[in-house]
Parts: sequence; C-alpha cells; structure tokens
Amino acid sequence: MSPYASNESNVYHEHPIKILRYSAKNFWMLIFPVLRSLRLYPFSLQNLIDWGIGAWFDLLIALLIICFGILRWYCCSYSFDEVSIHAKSGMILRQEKEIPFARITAAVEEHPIYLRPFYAVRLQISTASGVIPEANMRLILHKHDLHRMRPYISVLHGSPEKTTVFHTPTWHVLLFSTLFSSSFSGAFYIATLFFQGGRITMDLLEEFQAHALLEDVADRASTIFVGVPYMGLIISIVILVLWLISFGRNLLRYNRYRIQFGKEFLSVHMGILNRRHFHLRNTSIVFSDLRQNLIMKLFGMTSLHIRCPGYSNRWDTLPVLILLMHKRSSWTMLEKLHMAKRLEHPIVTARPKRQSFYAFIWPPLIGLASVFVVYHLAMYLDPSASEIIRFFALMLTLPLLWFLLVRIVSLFTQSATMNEQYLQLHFSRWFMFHTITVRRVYVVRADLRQTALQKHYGTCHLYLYCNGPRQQRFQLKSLPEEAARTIIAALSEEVQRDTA
Amino acid sequence: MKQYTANSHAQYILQVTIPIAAIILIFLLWYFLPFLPHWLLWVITVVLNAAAAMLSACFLPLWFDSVSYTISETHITKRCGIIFVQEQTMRTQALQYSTILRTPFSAKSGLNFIPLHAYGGTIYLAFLRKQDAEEIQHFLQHTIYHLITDHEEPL
Repeated sequence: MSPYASNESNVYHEHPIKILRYSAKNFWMLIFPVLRSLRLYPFSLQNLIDWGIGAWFDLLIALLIICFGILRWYCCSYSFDEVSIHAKSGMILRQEKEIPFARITAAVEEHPIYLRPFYAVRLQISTASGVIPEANMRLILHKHDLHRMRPYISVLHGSPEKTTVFHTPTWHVLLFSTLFSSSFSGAFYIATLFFQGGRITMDLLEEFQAHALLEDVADRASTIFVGVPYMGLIISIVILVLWLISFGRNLLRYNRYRIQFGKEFLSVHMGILNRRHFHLRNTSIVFSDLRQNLIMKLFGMTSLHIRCPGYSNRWDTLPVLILLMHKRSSWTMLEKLHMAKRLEHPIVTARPKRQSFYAFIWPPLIGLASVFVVYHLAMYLDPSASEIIRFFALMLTLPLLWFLLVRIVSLFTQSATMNEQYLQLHFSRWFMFHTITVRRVYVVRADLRQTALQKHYGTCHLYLYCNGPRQQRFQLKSLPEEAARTIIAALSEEVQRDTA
Repeated sequence: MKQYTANSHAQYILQVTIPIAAIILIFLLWYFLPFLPHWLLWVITVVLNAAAAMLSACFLPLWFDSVSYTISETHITKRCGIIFVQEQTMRTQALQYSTILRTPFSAKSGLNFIPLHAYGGTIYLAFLRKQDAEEIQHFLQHTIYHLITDHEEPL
C-alpha cells in the first residue's frame, strides 16, 4: 500500500511535494524575507522568541498558505483500473478526468534534479485530442506508485518483445545542438524566465551586475574588432549570448540521448538535469520529418523529427527522434518506425517547373532590395551614423543571401511523390529543408491556388493539411497543375474510402 | 440509446443570478465611474437591465427547452438552439477522454458539465442533473471505454 493511498481502495494521492506547487506563489515571497530577518539575530532562545513575536503575523499567513496547499493536495487524488485512469481535483469546483489507456498516445516521465531526492516523478499523459499542445493529465507521483501503474498503461510498460536500442554519441549531441540552436529560442527562454521569475530575475541580474559585465566585454571586444561600431559589438554579444543559452539548453536537454524501438511502442530517453522518458505508441505518429539545413544537406546529414500527440509539442522544443544521421541510413530508420522508406514505385511524382523560378526567389530578392533602398535612404538622411548603418545592412544582407541560396536549392530539390499508401514531400521552409512522409489517410485537406500567371504556365501552389493535435500545413510551390490535381483526386478518394 | 435534457433547476438559478449580476454591475458602474455623463450611465443601465430581462425571461427558457443530448454506443449528439438549431454529432470511437465538472450543491443546482474531448474537437454536455451526469459517466466508463479498449487504435 502506498503511503499516500486513501482509505478508498485503489485511490491514491499525489506525492506530498505537490503541496508546495499547490501553495500559492506568494508563500515564497513571504517566507524568504521572514527567514532572512532571522539571520540578523544572533542565535539564542530569547532572540528566537523575540523574532517570533516580531514575525508572528507573517508566519501565521505562511502557515495558512501551507494549510491551503495541504487541503488542495488532499482533495486531489487519482485511481486506475484495467481500462482507464481517473484524476480528481479542485476543492470547490470538482473536476474528474478520465482517460482510457487505449487512447494514450504518449506518456512522459520526467525526473527533474529537484524531485529526485524525494523519489518523486512527474508523469504527463497525452491523447490525440484538443488544439492546445499540452498534456491532458499531469501528476507528480512517488516512484512506487508509478511502478504500480506501469503494468496497466501499455505505453508505459512498452513492447513485450525484443527491442532495438540506439545510443547517440556525444559528438552528435554537440553537433545537433550547434546546428539547431538559435538566438531566437535563447531570447524566448530568457523572456519566459523574466515572465515567470518576475522581480527575482531582475534582482539576480542586478546582483551579477549584468549591465556592467556586458559593457566590459564590449570594451574588450572593441580592442580586437577594430572598426566595428560599439553598438554593433553590443548587439553581436547579446545575439551570441542568447545563442549560447539556447546551445546550453539543447546540450542539457538532449544529452544522454537513447531510443528504444519496439514493434508497437518506442521510448526516447534524454536529459541531464531533467531526465525525460518519452513513451510513444508507433501508430500515433502522424508523420515523420527529415530536417536539414544547407550545411547538413551539403554533407548528406539529416535529423529525424516526428509529429506525435504528446511528444515535444511545445513550439520551443523540437520533436526530434534521431538527432543526426546520414540521409542514406535514414530510410532504414523510417522503416523501423513503420513509415515508408523512399517511395520507389510512385504513382505520381511532381516537381516544380523551372520557368517558375521567380516563385522561389522573390521573397529574398524583395528583402535584399528593401535593405538596399533603406541603406541608401538612411545614409542620405544621417551620414554621421554611416558605420552603424553599414553594420546593420551587412547583418541583414548575410541571412538574406543565405535565404536566397536555400530557395535556389529548393527549386531543384522540391518534389511530391505518392504511392498507394504514402505521400512524400520534399520542400523548404525558411532556412530548413524538410522531407515529410505521411500516410495518405492523415492528409485531411488539400488546397490548390493559382495566380493568373501560374494559370498561363499551367502551374499552381499545392497546400496540404495534415491531421494531428494541431493541423499542420505544407506548401509546395509551382507544381505542374495536372500532377497537383492527380494528387488531390487520389487524396479525396482516400477520404471517401475512409468515411465509407 | 438514451436522451438527456438540461436541468430546469440550473435554468432557475441562472434566471435569478443574471438580474442580480446586472444590478451589481450597474451599482459598480455608478459608484466607480460617476464622472461619465449621466445620460451615458442611464443608457448603459437601461441596456443592461433590458439584456438581463431578455436573457432571464425569454432566452434561457427557450434555450433550456431546446437542448437535448442523445448518447448511444456509436454516437453522441448534442442538439440546441433557438432560431438556428445546431446539431453536433461525435463518433464514440473518436472520443479521447472525458471530464466531469461539478459545482457545490450540484445535486440541487444542476450545474454539472461533461466536456467530451474527441479527436478534432470537444462537445460540452452542460447543465445536467447529477444522476444524469453520473449515469453518462458510468456509461462511458463501462461501455464506451471498454469498446475503445477492444478496438485499440488511438487515432
């Protein structure tokens, strides 16, 4: 019997550590100043009594907040039987959630460093419902209770037959973190930290004298990078620091990466500070996505991502399954995932027409032209700021040129192939190349769009929408109209067959 | 197949609550925004009162009369609406999970809700009698979820 089991049979409470989560955030804001004031008194019984007399009201409020947390924890319970898991929560408004085990598409065990000493584990259960990419049930359990539950949830106990295990070498993790880190995700992480931490984060930044540190680094850098404007250096340092934050986060997240393939289920283990074990059902994988940037494409490397309800669905995390591998070996991996390998005998193959190259290159060209115009306008209006204007123009031109290169490569590599069961799409989105392999039944909508010029040349844009917890749209540019119509006709036949 | 309707107790509670809420709102408006022109305050007061009266006297009784939920082993259907009747049908095989929400004194008030989360959307069964909500929950647990388990295919 679990120490947290209720009198009612098979009804359990979460780990008591959850009381701290249920206690209001204000508890921490109250208790820390009170404890800090205790430090001012030299330790003696009389001083402790004096401190208690001074802080009794704050202590009483803190005690009430903790009592509220305990009451909330007591009101929350969960139970399970052979068919489903139930969770009750709420004190006034009672909520009772029930998830059948057969509907669980993914279960995530999280072992954060701060929960490990308490033998606590966070369990997130997801189904294919909803539009918000959040877990449908979140519980903090004692490890014993999780092990007790494991035999009932097929996703959690995994495949009974022999499984294949893949370990990822550390240099793959390093290379993956380098290639997939970005200053944007670093900035997002910092913004989240500010939003959640509020005043505490600001105080920490002041304590570490972040502003002075930044100026100091910029001063040192200006002695090395002579001729680069000071403001440009500061911006570059901030971008670099944000990238490093994202890089560090990716390293911590994807280190000790291991995957286990079974016939029905697959498990992904990753992380250092927060060890995560994702347990997924193979049939829940909506599509696989082989991602490459231009450098990876040149070296024939790829990263395998998947779309599965409950697996890294947050927009700031990557739903990666294989960090890095050679593109040739990726097809074997797709087969293991019960996805199609390279479609060798397709019934339709559509590639963009070369005459429609403008559809690929106009966005970066317009960007470059805009930079050119703005640069000259700014130089004319304020010639004294020429250095900083030149710096910004260069910083904008380089990614736009890179983007142009990506689009030119995409013109020659984009294609859509289809066989009896699968649809495979090769296309680029921003700076990334994608190879999507999706079962035809999971494509829920197809749009064909044409401009007057495209009508003249017999081309069109094809938009395909894929099912999943949220709909995902793929755009294929300038495909021959006839081939696009054949794809749409085949997909609608599939829908009719499925409905019947 | 069984049909359920919304509880009339919930209707009475809402019919009483809405005018009270309107009165409180009008009081707060006059108390905190006295600097607004009086004609505007009077217009808002009249509009709020009229809306509360319309809701309580006309809309709520008609809506509660129109709402019905049909639950079978294969489909769950919600039918409601006054001028435009809306009918939502969900295949039970698409059902992913369910939640039951109970307010205090829900046995008397009829404020019981069951959101049914399916692949692609959610149907809300609102203002159910406590015994109806429990019966639906029991039906889901002992019939639908067993059927789902027998045909195990999450998507």
